[in-house]
Amino acid sequence: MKTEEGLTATLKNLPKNVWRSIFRNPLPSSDLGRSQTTFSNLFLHIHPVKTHVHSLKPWYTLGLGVISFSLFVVLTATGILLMFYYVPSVEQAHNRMLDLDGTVAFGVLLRNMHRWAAHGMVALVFLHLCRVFYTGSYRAPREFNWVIGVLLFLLTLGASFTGYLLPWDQLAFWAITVGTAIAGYAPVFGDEIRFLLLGDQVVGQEALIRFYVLHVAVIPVALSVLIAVHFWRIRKDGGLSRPEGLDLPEAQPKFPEALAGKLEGLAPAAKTAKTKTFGVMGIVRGPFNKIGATPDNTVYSWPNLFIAELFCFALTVLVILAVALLFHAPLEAPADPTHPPNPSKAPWYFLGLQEMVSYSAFWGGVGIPTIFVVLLLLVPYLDRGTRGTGVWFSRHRILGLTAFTTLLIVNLVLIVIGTYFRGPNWALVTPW
Amino acid sequence: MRVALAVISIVVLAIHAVVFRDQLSAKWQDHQSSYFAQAEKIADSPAARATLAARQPQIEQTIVRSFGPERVDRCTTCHIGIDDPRFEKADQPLRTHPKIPGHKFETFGCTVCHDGQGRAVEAAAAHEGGHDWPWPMLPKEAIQANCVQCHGEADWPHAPLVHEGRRLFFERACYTCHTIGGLSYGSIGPELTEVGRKRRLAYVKGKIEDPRATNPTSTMPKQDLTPEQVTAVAVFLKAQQGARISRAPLQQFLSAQQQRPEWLPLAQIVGPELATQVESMAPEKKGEALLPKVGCLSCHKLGDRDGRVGPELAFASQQRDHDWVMAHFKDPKSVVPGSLMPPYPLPVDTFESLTAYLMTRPVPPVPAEPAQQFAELCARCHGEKGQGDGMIAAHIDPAPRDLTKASFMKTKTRERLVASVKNGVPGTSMAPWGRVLGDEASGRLVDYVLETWSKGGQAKPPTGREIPAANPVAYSPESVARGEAIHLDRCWGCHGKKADGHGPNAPDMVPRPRNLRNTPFIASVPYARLHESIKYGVQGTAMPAAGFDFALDDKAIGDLVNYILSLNRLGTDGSKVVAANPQPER
Repeated sequence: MKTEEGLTATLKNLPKNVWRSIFRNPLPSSDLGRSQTTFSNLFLHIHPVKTHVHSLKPWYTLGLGVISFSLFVVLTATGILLMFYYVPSVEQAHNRMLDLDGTVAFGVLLRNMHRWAAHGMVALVFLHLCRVFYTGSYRAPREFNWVIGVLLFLLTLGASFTGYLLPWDQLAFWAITVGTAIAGYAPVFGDEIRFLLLGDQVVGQEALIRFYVLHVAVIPVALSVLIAVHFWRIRKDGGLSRPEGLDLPEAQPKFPEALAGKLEGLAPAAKTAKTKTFGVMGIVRGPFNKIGATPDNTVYSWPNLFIAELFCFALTVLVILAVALLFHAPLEAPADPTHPPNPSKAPWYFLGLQEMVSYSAFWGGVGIPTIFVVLLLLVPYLDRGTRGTGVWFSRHRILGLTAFTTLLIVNLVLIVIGTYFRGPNWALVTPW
Repeated sequence: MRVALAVISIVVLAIHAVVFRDQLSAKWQDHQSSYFAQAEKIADSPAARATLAARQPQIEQTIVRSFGPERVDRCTTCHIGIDDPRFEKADQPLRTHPKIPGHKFETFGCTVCHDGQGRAVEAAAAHEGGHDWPWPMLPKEAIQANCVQCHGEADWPHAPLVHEGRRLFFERACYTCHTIGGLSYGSIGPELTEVGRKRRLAYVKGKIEDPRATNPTSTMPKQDLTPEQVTAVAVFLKAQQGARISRAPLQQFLSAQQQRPEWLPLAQIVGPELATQVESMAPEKKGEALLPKVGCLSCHKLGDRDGRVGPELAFASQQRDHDWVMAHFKDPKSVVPGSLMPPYPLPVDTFESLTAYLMTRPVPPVPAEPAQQFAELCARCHGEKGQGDGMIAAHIDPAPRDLTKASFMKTKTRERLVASVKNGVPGTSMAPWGRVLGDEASGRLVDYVLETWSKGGQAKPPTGREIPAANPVAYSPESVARGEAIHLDRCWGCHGKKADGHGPNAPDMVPRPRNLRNTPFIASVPYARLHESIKYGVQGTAMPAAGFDFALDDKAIGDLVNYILSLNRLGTDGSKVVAANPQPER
């Protein structure tokens, strides 16, 4: 009898026990529970238990970083599915595209999502970079995370560029021919760099397999590692940037929406930090966790931060799905090395370069871009000011803002000219 | 935030619903279901009926390995009834395909003959293949372009359009400009060896209908062809796909190795029948038979045929001699350096017979009135109103003179204008009309032109100019070097560094700067006129009075003339330029 009862109870409790073994904590209803949920879950523990309220302001970050990462997740998922059908061979690649577009279940949606998400990621990562610049968030102690961010941007361009070749249509073939020709203008080693990229003197099977390996293995792994470092350093550098003086000792918590109960888990204003307890890590380092010296402007990451991130992710998926449903990824005629289209254009984000190359091969293709990248990398080491950090378009940073905006506009204008105003023989045309 | 998240999640789910609906209800499934239902109704045995009832829609495909690169044709996914003889009257896509003996669907697939994009299972994508697909489905009559990939014999009876197109390709002189590997070796236009593989039929057709449609600077003459003929040429060109699947690799290699021959066999151009016929004919008769067949009249005018690109040939015997015509046949640029006409790849005896025909052909009567003479003989180049914009003017270099430009016409002496009409202008398309018109009528025609077209302005031929009758500087390498230095200092902006008339300023000038390497022209001009043109400029053109504007004295001008002569390998014996080397460099 007893064993029978025991068995019934075991079976009865089976679902609950399985669930508990996976999720250690029930849905949190207390501050302790919120903390435990965050740090005992592999995917959540990269976040801090508590997040500064300023970091949650939508108009401060615009969610650009999370959207960029969401696009990376979408690209990884769709990319892996596409890999099941793709063959990196010049005989088969284009046919596989036709199969994806025609007969593979959901193939056309996957391809569209992957293509549009790739373009979107280049744009969003760049916008994220702009956000960080315009809010001065690259300043100490976040200099190196800016450098990693710039490297992530370059890797994103690399991922998009290498993926461009894989459909092996006319657009791909000639865009890569043009793009790698630009690399050939580098001084001293130009031809060697080009040869290293292509494995040949022209774009062919060797180039296809190289770009494929770069696209599906080398660059995604590098991106993943650097993204991890990027996230890690956000925490180690004291969270997202914010204006000075928010957390000065004499200051009271400054976030009325939090006080009004719109956010969950904010320490009430009356609760000063004296009553707050800290983990050892919080005492050891960090710019603001001085016990008893600062007001507590933080809220629990569960649910405030997570729901915001989930929102960005869901929005990204929604937009990509909708765009993929409405607009087909272009697929031109199979690559034909003897039949160049006129004009041959690089991918849109390199059209500014191509436009500059049409004036001077070395300066447009190598010199100026190198200067741009070096300048970008050096930004936090050149700008050693402290006033105006954490504020959009701060008047204290007028020089840097003007210089950055000027270069930004020049680049955008060149891209627009290259995209819409260049016709056969790279002659000026009007698009209307 | 939570509400927004919920809304977004619901929309994402809705999009998934749409995606699944699209995926699960493809058109081809309806076509197959409809086929199964119809076939079940007319099935003759219960067993067959049961089989059909059990069939589920699925993607059908044929993998074609015997004809070039592997093809996957999924056309039968929709066209599932093509080998079911009971569906002869059914609507597409289920209709029965006509039986073609020896052509099994499972060996040939569909796109080998029809083109199209075989991997697609959606009608528009399969038939048109997207906006850039080079091989959209061929219209029925054009399928023969693919038949001849295997059935390449010249007398295969089922490809009339291809054969007609090939005939027109030669008759309309296409072969003189375009190369089709193994067939023709023209080098003026783009190579067409693989045009059928690279271009859509509609593009080729459009290019023939209007060569300037996609390339405004094309010099290809617009041919006077009926719509059927355009289709024939386009289908013939669509059949040019480079590697022929029916030819052995070794054959292809050998034909690619073939060097450009000096001339093509007549039989290849006019067909073996006419080639044999003309063998025994007298030269004039042979020329008469061949002239319309080798392509002359797709540019030139003769009798009632007019290609509307080149000059009239009817008066050739009164204007040119045998040697000139032969030299022109062998290399048109040797006598008219700006000529558009390609050198013809014909055997020399064909040239001789064509020349014989042109030299003996009766000359048509010429009207007596200057106005009618102008309209009939001059307007073709100089334009109906003498503005230098005649029907063929765009194809002529140097361009025909604008006779309404009084500042030019009135500053030249009447004798010089009459001489131009009578003797023509060597090195240009202006032919000598003296023997056609007679001396007196030539003068009257000039008077008519001056009164009717060159109106306005009080300009008169200049007087009192100081022009040495002979070159004051002896011809020497040093003089030529000095002249070249002046040219590269003062003249090249219009006349070009190579003195070929293509300087950077030239495109904006009317008339265009003279090509100083036009040997027949330079050799025909006396020293005094060259000197005068440089020293005092040419009124009515952009040529400035270099003697004054650039302070060039008579000796410097003499150096310049010597430089010009050296470009043309001409020497000087004082007053008159003579050819030091009558065969100009090519």
